[in-house]
Amino acid sequence: MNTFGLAIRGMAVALAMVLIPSGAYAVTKAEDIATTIMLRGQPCGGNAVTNISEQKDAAGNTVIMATCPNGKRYRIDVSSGGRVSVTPL
Amino acid sequence: MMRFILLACLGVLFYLCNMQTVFACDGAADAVQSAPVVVASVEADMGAIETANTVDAKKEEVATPHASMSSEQGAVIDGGDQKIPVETTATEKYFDMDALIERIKDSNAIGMFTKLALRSDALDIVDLIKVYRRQANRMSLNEVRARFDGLLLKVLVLLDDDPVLSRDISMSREGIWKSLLEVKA
Repeated sequence: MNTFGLAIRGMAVALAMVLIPSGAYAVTKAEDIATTIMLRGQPCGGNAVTNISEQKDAAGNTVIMATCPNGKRYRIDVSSGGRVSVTPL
Repeated sequence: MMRFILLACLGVLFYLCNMQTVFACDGAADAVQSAPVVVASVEADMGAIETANTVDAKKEEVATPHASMSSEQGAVIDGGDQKIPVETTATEKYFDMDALIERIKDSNAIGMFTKLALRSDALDIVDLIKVYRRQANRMSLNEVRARFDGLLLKVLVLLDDDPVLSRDISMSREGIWKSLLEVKA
C-alpha cells in the first residue's frame, strides 16, 4: 500500500476514535454487590466482592452471600418488594 | 509524499481542536443558560425552607397537624388560614420525573442491586415525609430534606460514568424534592 493510502487510513482511524463514542461501562455483579454493601454503610475494602452465592425462594425473596476484599462476609436480602438490607455474617 | 502526510496530520489536529472548542462552547452555553435557573432554584429552596419553618412554628403553637403540600404549578402550601404560593422555576416546567426514573433504570453506570438499594432509600424518605405529615415524630422537614440531599449525593457519585444523567438529576433537584412531597399519604 502506498503512503497516501496509509495516510487516509490513519486519518480515518483518528476520526473514528474521536467521533464514535465509547460504550458506557457496565458494572459487573461483583462490583454491583460491593457498591450495595458500601451504600448500606458497611465496610468492604474494595470495589468487587468474591464467593457470591445467590438463592431465591418461592416468595420471590433473594438472599445473596458475598465476601468483601477485607475478608468480611455479608448477607444481602432483597425482598420481593425490592427492599434491600445488608447484614454482616 | 511526506509533505502530504504532514498536512493530513495537521488537518486531523485542526479538526480535533475545533471539536474541543465546540464542546467547550456548548458547556459554557449550558452553564450560562443554567445559571439563572440554579439561582431561581436556590431562591425557591430558601422560600420552601422558610415556609416549612413557618409551618413548624405554627405546629408547636397549635399542636394540630395542618401541613399539607400541594403539587400543581404555582403550588400552594396550606399553612392553616393563609395559603403561601411557591414560585415555580424554569427547571420545574420541563421536569419529567417518569422520564428521569426510566433513564436511571436504563443506565449502565449503576448495577441492579445498587438501583434497588437506592429505591429502598427513596421509599424510606417517602415514608419519612408521610410520618412528618402525620406529625408522628418530631422530625422537621429540614431533616427530611437533609436525608434527601444525602441520597441525591450518593446517586450523583454513583452516576460518575453517566455524566449527562448526573447533570440532569442535579438540575432537577428541586423538582424531585417536590415530587416526593407530592406523594399521596
